[in-house]
Amino acid sequence: MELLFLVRRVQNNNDDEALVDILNMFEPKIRKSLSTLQRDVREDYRQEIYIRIIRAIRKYDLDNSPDLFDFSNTIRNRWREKKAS
Amino acid sequence: MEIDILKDNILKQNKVFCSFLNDPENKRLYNKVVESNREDLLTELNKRFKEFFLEIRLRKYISTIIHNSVVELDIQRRKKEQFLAPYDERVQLKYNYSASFYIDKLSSIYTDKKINDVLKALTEKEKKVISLLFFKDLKEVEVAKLLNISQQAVSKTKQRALQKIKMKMREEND
Repeated sequence: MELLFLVRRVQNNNDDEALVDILNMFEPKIRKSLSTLQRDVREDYRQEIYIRIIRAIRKYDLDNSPDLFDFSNTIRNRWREKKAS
Repeated sequence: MEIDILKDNILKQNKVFCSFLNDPENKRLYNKVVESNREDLLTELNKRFKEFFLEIRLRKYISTIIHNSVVELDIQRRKKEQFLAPYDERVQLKYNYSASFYIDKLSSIYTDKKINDVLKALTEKEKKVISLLFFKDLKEVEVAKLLNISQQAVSKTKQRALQKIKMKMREEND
């Protein structure tokens, strides 16, 4: 729930520290994605990725989540469709 | 009736639900709900699941953003590179003339005596390759083209040079 907690802080309090924590959290993934690129462009791309993540976090809809019954209905329907096809 | 849904096998096989139950706290709550049919516990379980689902969806979302933006930016850069290709060739020629310049500069970049000694131990060819690869950030293929040797030769020289540097550094440290 760590990420969710941080995102709430960003959205409600405009907390910059939380934002930095989130970016640090995804550092391994960013590094992995950048590892295929040439060294000289990595830093530029990193900046762009940061911007996109920040934008996404600010707009992310935290209220719209399925509960257990929505979820279970969805997977059951998916299962039935799979069986039918 | 709602609680019967929870006992469903399809749900139990679901990966997301499984990992939700991996948390001992959630597992206990789930068992309690199935056994006792209590509404208040069910609400609590539901609330926990909602949070859990949000969290993993958000994680996946951000990971996808990272991956996609790297792919997208790289495509853009490649297009630009194609566009500028004739200019790049001219720049590459320039490197050829200044290659020796970078090698001389190599030792002046580092003031640390240790590193200087290590770099001096390399042969001319190794110095060239190392300086072009790591100080000019060229690819092995580009270095090969510049020095008129095969890419495999560059790779081999690089390996040998790095090995040498490693050994020297180890010796110095002992």
